[in-house]
Amino acid sequence: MQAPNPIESALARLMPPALSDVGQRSIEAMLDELAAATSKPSAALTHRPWWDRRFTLPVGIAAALAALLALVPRNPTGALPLATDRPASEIATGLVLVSESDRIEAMSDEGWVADPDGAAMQAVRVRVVEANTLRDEETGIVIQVSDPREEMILTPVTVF
Amino acid sequence: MATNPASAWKAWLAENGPRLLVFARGWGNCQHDAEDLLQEAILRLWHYQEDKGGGPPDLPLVFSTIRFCGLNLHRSETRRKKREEAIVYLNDFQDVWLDPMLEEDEEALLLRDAVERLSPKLREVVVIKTWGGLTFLQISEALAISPNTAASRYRYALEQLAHELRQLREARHASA
Repeated sequence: MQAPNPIESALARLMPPALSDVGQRSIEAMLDELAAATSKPSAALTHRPWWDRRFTLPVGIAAALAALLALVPRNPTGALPLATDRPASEIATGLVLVSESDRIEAMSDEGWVADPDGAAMQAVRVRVVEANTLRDEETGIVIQVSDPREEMILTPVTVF
Repeated sequence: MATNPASAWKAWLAENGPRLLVFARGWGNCQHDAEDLLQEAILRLWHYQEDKGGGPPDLPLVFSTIRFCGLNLHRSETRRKKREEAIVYLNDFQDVWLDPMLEEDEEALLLRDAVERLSPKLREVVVIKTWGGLTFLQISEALAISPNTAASRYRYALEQLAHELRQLREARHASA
């Protein structure tokens, strides 16, 4: 039988340290949440843990950004057309939601920024106006509610 | 009654956590970074395993996933800080990759430092082989290299460690 290499014997005297209590608890908590999400697939869509969102959110943002970028050349001079139109629905107060939309008014490339972890992110500033049109069933008055907001979309830079 | 998959994963983590952590240290500047890396890898593996019954994965796949996550982290950090590839680890004795089984085991402490100074390619093979317990065939799967390359890297690393240990001993004797 071949004698063990003395270096291998010496290496065997070294032991990997255990995970810290905080690290162990964090991973176990994640496993519990993942298991809970797996056992309740319908709830998984709305109550995904933060570490899960951390990896899926950029994908969603990238897809949204790609859709927005695809719309830009079609109407380069003015505001973008309706990005989303949803069917009408009735609200409990007697107002009927005729339409709702998110309109992109402006979009500018902010270049690269670093997220808190130091990873490179592509930043795009987007000015969105959410417009909801409502109709009062009793009076027939149509109301439009506009809610402008500004968003910074960060997309991880993975290809250079 | 169906077993809670989290329990199986926790038991698996309790058994394999330290060996995975020491491998993750190759890409983290401290134990906390390595634990974050391990957590990220476990999250990816959880989703990956969902289509395969949901049980804990095989170790070669885990090492491979940690390496993938580590390379991503290392690439972004390297670009951000514009620093040299070589990283200085473990000047802090409270934050070490490996603990000697015996206190006052001077040779083990020297060896620990020497392992940390190995090049990443050599070190990852030594770590997976010694503390991961994988065969060269499994290492080749985890690192996407041939089994012969894995074996030769391991042999070369042992030679390098032996050489460095000899030099350190001689230096100590000379100064004593």
